[in-house]
Amino acid sequence: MEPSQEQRLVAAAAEDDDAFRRLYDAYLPRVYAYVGYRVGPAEDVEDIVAEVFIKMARGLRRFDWRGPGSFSAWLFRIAHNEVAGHYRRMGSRASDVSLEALAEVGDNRPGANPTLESAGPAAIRELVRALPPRRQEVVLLKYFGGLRNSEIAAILGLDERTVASNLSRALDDLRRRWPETEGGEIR
Amino acid sequence: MKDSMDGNEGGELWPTDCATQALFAQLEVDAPQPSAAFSEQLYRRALAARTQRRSGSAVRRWLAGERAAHINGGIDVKRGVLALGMAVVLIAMLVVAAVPSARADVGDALAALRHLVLGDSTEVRQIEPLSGELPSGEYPWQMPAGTYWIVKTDVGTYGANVLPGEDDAVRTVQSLAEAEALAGARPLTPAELPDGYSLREVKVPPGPQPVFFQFYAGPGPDIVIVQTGVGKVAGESPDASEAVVVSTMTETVTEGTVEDVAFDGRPAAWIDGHTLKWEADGMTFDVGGLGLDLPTAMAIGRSLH
Repeated sequence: MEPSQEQRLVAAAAEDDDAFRRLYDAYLPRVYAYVGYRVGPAEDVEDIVAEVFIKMARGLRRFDWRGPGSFSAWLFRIAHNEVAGHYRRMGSRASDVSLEALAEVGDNRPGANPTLESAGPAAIRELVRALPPRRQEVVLLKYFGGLRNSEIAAILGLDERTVASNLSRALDDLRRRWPETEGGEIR
Repeated sequence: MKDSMDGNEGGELWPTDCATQALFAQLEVDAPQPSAAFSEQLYRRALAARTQRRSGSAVRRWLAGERAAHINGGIDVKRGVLALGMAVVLIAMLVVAAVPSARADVGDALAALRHLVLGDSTEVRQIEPLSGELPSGEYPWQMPAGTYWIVKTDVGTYGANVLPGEDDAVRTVQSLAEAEALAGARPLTPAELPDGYSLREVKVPPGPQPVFFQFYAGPGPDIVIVQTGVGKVAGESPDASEAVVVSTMTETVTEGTVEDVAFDGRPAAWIDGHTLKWEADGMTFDVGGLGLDLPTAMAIGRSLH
């Protein structure tokens, strides 16, 4: 969606049902994917996503457009806060298993680790969830939120260089363990 | 999934090698996605929440003591509202508290552990237990005497602000016919009740729409059925110079428990283990009792006619 188009849509969505619907349809899959990758059980994902969009709906009139990407940054900040609140209430962190721990469980070569044996949804989700929480956050906000490093930095309370570093390491981690690739090449 | 995966987002280079592209593709293909049913249900809830927010803001302003500004500042309000094709909007809110100390719309002031939207005008919030005093000025019962009504029941305290110039008295009668005469409408009554229960009294508070509290007495704790007309109706402004629309909504706030349940295909809430709440046909219903279980509450609710 072009920034100018999105700006008009966001402005109209506070009052216009059709604009609200288009905005909702555009962002629901992205927010759901972000939350889904970060939180396991589907019922938890649905509860969190519902809270995100209800807050979005309630806050639309207060939202202040500050340029391209600002709406996405605002929405994903809400999503980030809801996921963080979810884990806070559960008394646990977003990811209890590190990639390092995964590597210790089995052979680190692609295809040798049972978790990575099948390149299905479970495998990629396990890989993402096994990233250290900060790297997981950065890569998901970058990809599904389409956020700039500065916006991610603001959400996570980091500086931009740390975001860039975490993003780079997250991608390295994923590439290294993704069974479809080996050493950065397609198998 | 991301709008631009062209390798350059906002001046920040994305890796464009085949391995990363394959990874991104898989990330997107395998991304958890909402079901169609969930998408539609949430859309309706979000749309309702957006609409309610308009009312809610006005309610908070009104309850926070800016009522005069809201109503008497008719020029500004009217100008703003006319843009939407409506006249001045007055807001009345029935706020229900299912906790011993009466609560009202906590809005964003308190974190909601759970928030259910049961219809266009009905919400339930489960909040974290409060350690201190409630914020002042946002609750009908914190307003000056004569500007609100409350009804205390076994299952919570109910209250709402009254419209300017309106009587705040809650009338108590012993028959449905008397209640109908007071409110101009007859409450729905249950065809099914546990053995030994019968109508003891009906309380009828003031308001732009009929509200009834039916109390049924029997061998156990009272059974309370609360029926509230919700939504928008035409009303009169305090100085009768402008057409107004009065909007009524209900909200239950509890520190206890809230379960999301389905009741005859409608979203409903089972609150604190004793009260079933849902919205249907422009009305919000509460069926509660300290001795009720969910199946019994549903049976009573289903038998309302």
